[in-house]
Amino acid sequence: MANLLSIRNFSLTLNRQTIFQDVNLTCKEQSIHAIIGPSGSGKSSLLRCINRLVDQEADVMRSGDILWQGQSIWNADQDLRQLRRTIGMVFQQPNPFPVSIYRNVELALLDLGTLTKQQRHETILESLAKVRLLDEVGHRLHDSALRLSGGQKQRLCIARALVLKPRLLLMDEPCSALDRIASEAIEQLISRLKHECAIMIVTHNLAQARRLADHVSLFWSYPQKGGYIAESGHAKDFFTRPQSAISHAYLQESAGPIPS
Amino acid sequence: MANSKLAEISYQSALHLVTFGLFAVFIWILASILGQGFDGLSYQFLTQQPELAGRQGGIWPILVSTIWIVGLAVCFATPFGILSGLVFSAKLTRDTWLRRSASHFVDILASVPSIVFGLFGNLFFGELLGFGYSILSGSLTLACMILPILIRMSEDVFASIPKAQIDGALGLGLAKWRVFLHIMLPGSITHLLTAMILATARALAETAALLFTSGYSLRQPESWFDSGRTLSIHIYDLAVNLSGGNQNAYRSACALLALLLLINCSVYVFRKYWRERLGKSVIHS
Repeated sequence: MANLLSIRNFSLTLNRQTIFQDVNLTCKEQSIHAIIGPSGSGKSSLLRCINRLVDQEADVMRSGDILWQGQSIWNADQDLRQLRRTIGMVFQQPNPFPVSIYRNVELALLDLGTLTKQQRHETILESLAKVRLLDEVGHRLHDSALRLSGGQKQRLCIARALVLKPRLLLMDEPCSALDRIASEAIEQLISRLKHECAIMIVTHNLAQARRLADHVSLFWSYPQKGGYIAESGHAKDFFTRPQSAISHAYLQESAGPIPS
Repeated sequence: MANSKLAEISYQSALHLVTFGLFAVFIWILASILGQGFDGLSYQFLTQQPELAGRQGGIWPILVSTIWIVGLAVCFATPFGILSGLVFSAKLTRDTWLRRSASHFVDILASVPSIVFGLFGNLFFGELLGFGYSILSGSLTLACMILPILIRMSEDVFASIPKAQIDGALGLGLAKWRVFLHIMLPGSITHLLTAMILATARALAETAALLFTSGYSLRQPESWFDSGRTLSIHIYDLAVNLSGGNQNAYRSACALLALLLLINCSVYVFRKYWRERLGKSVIHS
């Protein structure tokens, strides 16, 4: 499989605080790449860099590069909005817009003037069907999205991202705010989506990473010096034969002091 | 244990006392105005022309001028206020030193006395732009005065929108103007209406700034280049400058209160309708 995304020696500083340093990582088509590690090691910030949401921040310094299909995402001729449509993002907290369920998905298509009304309608229903929302709330699509349950809200957010047919879906702890049943539904959805697009998922749930991921990167952090990748590789190898002492300790869930 | 119970009782009593006190003051003001002015407040009073410089007759041209001046001021100030509030909330823009400096100027603008606004309006709109004593000069000056209220309240409203919601919209590749129009605005419209009501109330109460800009002609304005007198100026003039004008001053005050009540009620009804609509969330493009 070809590399969709290559992150090369990428470092990020926000408000003069180093978030992570020298991150090297690749993401292949139709694969799930899990990013695990302790809180504050820069995992979510990395996702925000990949679809350039970090551009919203005030004091950003970065070095290295992120290549999307071989081209730097910061190239002057890179269409930012097109990039964000191609690299979808799902956040930790479900964040539906204060409009109807249907409109939440429709809003994502507003800038795509190429679809007819009928095509747009079919695309929206198809997207809602993919996340199994059409069966559950198909009879009340014009009700407020804010009235859905937590798991349904998160699936709606995934449908909203999927309607744009992204090549890569970034998921920042998509199950952390959900109960076990809702988490399982999202997990099943992620497994199915793998055949449509690559997925990069940040999770604290090692069992989930083990079940879902093809590749795993473990983020760790130096005190005061920001995060770095302690180990990256095939999920099977990582979970059975971790190479670094940190990975070994993390998997044992008794990381203790960081080896020098 | 006893001390804790005593503290709780004292706390509850203090809260009730403050609430009752505020309510009593409001009722007292209302009763004294209604008591003096309700008698003689009639349809004829609202629709007739004033006589003897306003001591007798009605307030029709004054009502028309008030609605013109205040309505125009709110129309001029609202778009600027809301857009400035959006910029100052830094939800769709970066937080820069320029934004922070401009934000301090808004606070300074809010504390400028209204008489100074009047002098500025007289000089800038009246003389420099040649609008003279007119509805237009008055409403533009009032717009400058109510702008800080609208900016600050809009800023608070937009700042309270969850960042995750805006990130979610930007993450879909939506243009910023679409994020504002389709996501931020529908969710904030009821709060923005409250800001507009406060701004309208501030504008309705203004006298000093308008004395120098819209003037105090009793004639009914035929265009926005004509001079016109608002209810507040009319009340001030009747109560302070004219002997025998007190009765009509109180009646005019009743009319002013009724106008405020009418605006509040209309907005309340609209707000209720919008919340229900937002609840069902059928918002079409």
